[in-house]
Amino acid sequence: MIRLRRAFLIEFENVFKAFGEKRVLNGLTLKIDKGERFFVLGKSGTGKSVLLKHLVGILKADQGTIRLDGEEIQNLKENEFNRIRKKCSIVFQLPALLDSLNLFENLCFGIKALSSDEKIKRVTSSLNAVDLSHLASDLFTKTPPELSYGEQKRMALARVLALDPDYILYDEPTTGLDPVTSRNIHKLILDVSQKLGKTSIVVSHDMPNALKTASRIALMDAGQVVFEGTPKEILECQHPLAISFMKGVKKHHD
Amino acid sequence: MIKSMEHLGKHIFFFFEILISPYTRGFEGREFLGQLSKTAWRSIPTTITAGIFTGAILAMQFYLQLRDFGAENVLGGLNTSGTLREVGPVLIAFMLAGKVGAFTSAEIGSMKITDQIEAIRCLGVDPIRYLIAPRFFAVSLSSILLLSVGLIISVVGGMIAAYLVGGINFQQYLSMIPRFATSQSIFLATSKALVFGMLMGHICCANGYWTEGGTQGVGRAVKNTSVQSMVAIVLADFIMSWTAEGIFFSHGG
Repeated sequence: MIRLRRAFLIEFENVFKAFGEKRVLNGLTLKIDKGERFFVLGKSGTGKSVLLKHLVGILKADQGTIRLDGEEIQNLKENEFNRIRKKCSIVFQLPALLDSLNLFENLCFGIKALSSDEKIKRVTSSLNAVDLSHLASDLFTKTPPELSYGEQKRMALARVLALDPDYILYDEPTTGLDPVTSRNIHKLILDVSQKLGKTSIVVSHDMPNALKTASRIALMDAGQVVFEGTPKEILECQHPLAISFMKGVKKHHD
Repeated sequence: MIKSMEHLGKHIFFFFEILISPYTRGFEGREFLGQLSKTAWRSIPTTITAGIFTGAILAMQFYLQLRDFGAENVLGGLNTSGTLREVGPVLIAFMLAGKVGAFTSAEIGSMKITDQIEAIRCLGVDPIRYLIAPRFFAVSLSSILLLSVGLIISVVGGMIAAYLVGGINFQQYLSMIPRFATSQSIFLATSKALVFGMLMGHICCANGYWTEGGTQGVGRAVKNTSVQSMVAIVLADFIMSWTAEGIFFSHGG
């Protein structure tokens, strides 16, 4: 009898990565399925952002296998990675918009090859998706520094949405934001995932919002996943890291 | 020692990577023109100021020496030749390293620490093609243009100083220039402008692109750009002057 192995869309299999003497990923194994809102939580320096950077080819694994849509990507060359980056795009911790370009040029940066009509269509729909349609009339006159920090974060997400990727990676999307804007960003992640059907991988420290937004959560420590489950499962988890992340959260969540 | 050699090798590799990038990766003409306007056009007032005073200072120094020998009449030729061949390119290049080089290095470095360069990569655009090569070629070309403008202006500055300090009229000053400032001098000045420009372009782009460690890293990149540019310019000036002396001027050219 042939047993069919379940095909996950993103797979990390025993991945190792070190920077000099410091080992950051230490046999990381992780599987993420289509349409998930997968949150990766953990203390600083446990390799969460490093994990995301492997998926877009900014970093290369020392050892192990990384698959995206069944294709092994850890050994792809820089020019071959552009194909992967079209379907798997990252929103950085900082907005990382180009200050020298106006808003429209920023939004079209990754879609230069498209026709003008298609660009305008993509820009309009991505602005609507991130609730920045009020900036439509300022697209050619304003530059990123003229926006608030929260608007810049949304604009960075709109730039990624304009690419129409299948996967969106968020690297600590709410760092440096006030609680209200943080909630709005998480609502946005939820909307983008539900309305546009995008698979989201979110690296975060924000447990309360992760419990509300995530479909699955992984806890990372010392370059490994130490617990993985649904928000409900994590509330009942007895792992010390889960307990320390949960302090003050359970009561609020109930 | 090994680390220094590694660093030098990294610089040489990066220099050639940028230099051949228009053939291997394509070229962003619009970005290049934008950078050229930013670096060349906006530096003209500073270049004119530096050029006038470089010429004027040298003219005053030469005048004081020549007066003792009663040879003031050769001031125009001597000053122009000295400015074109040696002092002018170096002083103006130093000024440009401080202005254009430091600005470019800080700009690229800030983009690096705020993830803008990684964002460019992740949007499927090659940062060497989009960001580095246009800046390298723009800084190199604008340095050549600005050095040429600065040197012409330095002749004017020398002429004015000679009139004010020594009462040498413009016609007398200009008439001696062709006897001393030969085509070889002009060729050497232009060659120096080209080499200094490329050195500055490379050093500021490399330091900016390799920035690490937050805002302190940007500070380090700017400092390294200034120091390395000045050392590289002085070294290149020495080598080129020595070589030219052997080729052009050893027989009284």
